[in-house]
Order: sequence, then structure tokens, then C-alpha cells
Amino acid sequence: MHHTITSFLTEDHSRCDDLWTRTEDAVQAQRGARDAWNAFRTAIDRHFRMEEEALFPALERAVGGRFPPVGVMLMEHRQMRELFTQLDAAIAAGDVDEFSGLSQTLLIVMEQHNLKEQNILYPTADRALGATTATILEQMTALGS
Amino acid sequence: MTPGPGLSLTQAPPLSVPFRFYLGAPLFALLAALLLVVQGPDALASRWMPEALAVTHLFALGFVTQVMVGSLMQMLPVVAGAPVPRPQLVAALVHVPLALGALLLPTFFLTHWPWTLYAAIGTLGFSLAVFLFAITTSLLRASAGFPTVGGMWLATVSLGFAAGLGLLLAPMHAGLVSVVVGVRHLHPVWGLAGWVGLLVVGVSFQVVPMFQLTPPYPRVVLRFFVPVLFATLIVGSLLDTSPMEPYVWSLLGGEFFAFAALTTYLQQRRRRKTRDPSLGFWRTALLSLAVCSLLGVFRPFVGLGNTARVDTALVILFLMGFAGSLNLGMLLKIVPFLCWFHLQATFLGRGPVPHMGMFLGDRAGRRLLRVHQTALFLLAVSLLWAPAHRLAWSAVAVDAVWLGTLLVLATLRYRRAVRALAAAST
Repeated sequence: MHHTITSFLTEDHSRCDDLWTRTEDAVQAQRGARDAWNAFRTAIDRHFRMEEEALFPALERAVGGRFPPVGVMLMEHRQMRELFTQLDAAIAAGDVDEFSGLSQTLLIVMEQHNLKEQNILYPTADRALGATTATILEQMTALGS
Repeated sequence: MTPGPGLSLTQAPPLSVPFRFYLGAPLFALLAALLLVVQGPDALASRWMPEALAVTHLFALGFVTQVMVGSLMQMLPVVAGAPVPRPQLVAALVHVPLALGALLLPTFFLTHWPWTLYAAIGTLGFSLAVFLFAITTSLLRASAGFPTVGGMWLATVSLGFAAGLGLLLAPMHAGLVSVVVGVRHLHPVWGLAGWVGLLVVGVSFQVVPMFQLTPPYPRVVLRFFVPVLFATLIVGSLLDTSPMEPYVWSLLGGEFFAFAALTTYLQQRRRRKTRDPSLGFWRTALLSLAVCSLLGVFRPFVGLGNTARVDTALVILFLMGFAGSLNLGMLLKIVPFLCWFHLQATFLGRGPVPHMGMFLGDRAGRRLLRVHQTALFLLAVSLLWAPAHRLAWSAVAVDAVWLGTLLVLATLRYRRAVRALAAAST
């Protein structure tokens, strides 16, 4: 049971990372790539939704207006979604080279995005949300089920 | 409520800021290598030979420091949430005199023309002063609590010490005063172990777990390792020329060996199994650092007759093997990533932009790794068997040309992509 946004979503990052490395391995081995990719997509789409539909709006309500870091995170989600579209095509085509170039790009974008969230945004959210943290955690959990 | 640091995309400096440092850097490595091919093995008989000093500064300032300064200006906003103010102006004020000074100082060592020394002091002094001022301003605003920021701080202070000691050495080289042995020893220690070493250690704490998905460094290491390294440097400097001094440097060697061993261990346990060339560069760098630091550990016990050779080996292993390999591995990632990053920042939502592999692919990276490892292997042979000297440094020259070609190709591909995307979206 998680009591902070930071620990809950950091653990989810780690889960997404694992599913991502499994996708990379599956593409390299040319076996089960589609399944691994789908599992990763489901996990990360859910992660984005938890942030976009529950955490970010709550955070902006708590600070009483637009919170610029949220805009940056949304922008990076958009960058990653563009890469997902390209990756999807590369996996469908079985193009390992194309996949490799895209996957390196995604890895850097995703990991520096996670780092910013874990080091700065989530701790900020934990402080700003205070007593409402538990409600937000419940909302996020509900989105996944 | 103030926005959290490190979360603004506009904090990323323009592409020209890091690239102006990167693109010229291989040229200095090439010059250093060619100089050694021409001069032959005698140039490295002692690291105080004019040719050895020229080559060391060409490589340390022209290649390693240029790449590190460019990357630091790029990474500060992301890693520390602390952008360098007026990045384009600062980059120009640091880059131009640094590049000039990195040519002038070696020219002085080779020719002993006094004006080249004064010009070198002026340009390098100005460049480093601007850089240190800019980086200090930005670090002062950095969010605390990251060990990486601590590493950057102490590396910056070390660069200041190294530069100050270098400035003290200059009038001695000009023959105005006699050389003080201590200063002569301390300048390379602060430049290499302090500036390069502390920065690499501090940045590794962040980027190794982040990009290779390794377990994190232990908390106690994150908190104490960089301060302990720095304290060792201070103690060694204070004990300068006392009988205890060599043993402090042994200890410093042991500390760097521990870093190499721990990082290798963590990388063995990485969750990301996909092998990309950057891992090969990491391994090469850490192996070089391990051998180099063991040489450092045993340096006091090798006997006076051998210290000159050990010192030459130490500097070559640290600069070419450790710093050189890491710089190459980093450039292979950061250059194509920044090409992609700036393209998609400009054209986001207007169709797909080319990914990293289109600017600098894995296959090219793997070939560069092989060239680089061959060059290092030949260097190791040449340290033990002088007749291999010219062949080894020719291989380093090929390594430098290869890297330079890849960087220029990536830049040209970036420009072509900008034109193509701009044409497509009008």
C-alpha cells in the first residue's frame, strides 16, 4: 500500500521500464515482440492517464491555476506518443533497425522524463496535495482496474 | 508557488551551444596524435618533455575539456534544473578563447616563443573565468539534494584549482622563476582526478542507473563518495612533498578503483539487456580506469627509476582510455539525441521526425568502438614496447578522424532534415 504519490508512481515507472526492456529483448530475439509491445503500451497508457486525468488536474487545483511543469510533462507525453506511433509501425513491419533507432530515442526521452517527475514533480505534488493525497491515489488506482 | 526547477523545455540551450564545442574537439585529438607520430617515442620519455606537455594539453583542453564544457552547458538544465544564463553568448565567450588557448599553449611548449605563452594565459584565463562564473551562477540556483550537483560543484572547484596552479606554473615555464616541484605535481592531479574524475563520478551516479537501468548506487556511496575523493585531493595537496604524500595518491587510486569496480558490478546487473555501443565504451573506460588506478596505488612502490614511465602510463590511460572512451560513448548518444530533440521541438505535431538512428546509427557506433579499442590496445602495447609507438598513435589519429566524420555527418543530416521538414510543412 502506497501513501505517497512519489512511491506509487515511481514503482509504476519501474514496472513500465521492465515491460519496455522486455519489448526490446523480444524484438532483438524476433519472438513475441507484438505481445511484449502491447503489454508495455497498456501499462504506459495507463500511467499517462493516471497522471493526465487524476494527478495533474489535482495538482493544478492545489496550486490554484496553471502549473508550468505540468505543461512540460504533457508535452513530453506527446513526444512519447509520437514515438509510440512510429514504434508501432516498425514492429508491425518487423524492421529491427528502425526499431533500434526509435527505441534509443524513446529510452532517453522516457528516462529523463521519469527522473524529472521522480525528483521534482512527484515530491512537489506530495507537498501540495497534503490530505487529498489518499483520494488521488484511489482515483489513480481506479483508473487502472 | 514557484515552478519546480528542471521542468522547462525552454531551458534546453540551442543546438549550437553544445555542438560548437563538439565539432572542433576531434581536431585537437588528431593534432595530438599526429604530433606524437612525427616526434616518435622519445617525446613521451617523461611527462615533463615539451612534446609530452604539448600533447597532453592539446588532448586535455582541446578534446576532453571542450566536450565536457559543451555537455555541462547542455546537461545542467536537465540534471540540476539550473540553466546557464545567456547560453549562446556564454558558449561563444568560453569556446573561442578555449580553442585558441588549447592551440597556443602547446605551441608555446614546442617553440618557447614568449608571446604564445602570454596569449595562452590570456585566452585560457578568460575562457575559464567566464565558464567558472557562469557555471557557479547556475549551480547556485540548482536544486540541492542531488549527488550529481555536488559532483559538478567540486569538479568546478577542481577546475579552478587546476587552472590556478597552471597559472602559477606559467612564469616558471617562461623561465622567470625556477620550477617548484609541488605545483608541478599538483596541477595534473587537480586537472585529471579533480576536474575530469569528480565530474564523471558525479554524473555517473545519475546516468548509469537512469539509462542502463542498473540498480542504484548505494546511498552511502551517493552521499560520501565525491566528498571523500575531494578530501583526499585536499589532503594530498596539503601534504605536498612530505614523505606521506605518495601514499595519499595511492589512496586516491584505490578510491577510483572502487568506483570502477562498483560501476562495472552495477552494469553487470542492469535490467536493460540490449547491448548498444555505449555500453562497450563504458566497459573500455572502466577497465582503463581500473588499470590506471591500480598503477596509481602501486606507484610509490615501483622504485624511482620507473616513476617516469608509470606517470606517462597513468596520464595516457586516464586521458585516452578513461576520459576519451567516455567522451566518445557520450557523443554517440548525445549528438543524435539532440538532433532529434531539436527537430521534434520545432516540428512537433507536423508529422514524424527522423529518430536518433538516422543521424548516427548503432552500426557506425560499433565500428567506432572497434577502432577506438584497437587504438587503445596498441597504446598499451606501445607503453611496454616502444617500437609500436608510431603505429599506436596513427591508430589514435584514425580514431579522431572517424569520430569527427561521424559528428559532421550527423550535423549535415540534421540540416537536411530541417530543410526537408520545413519544406513539407509549408
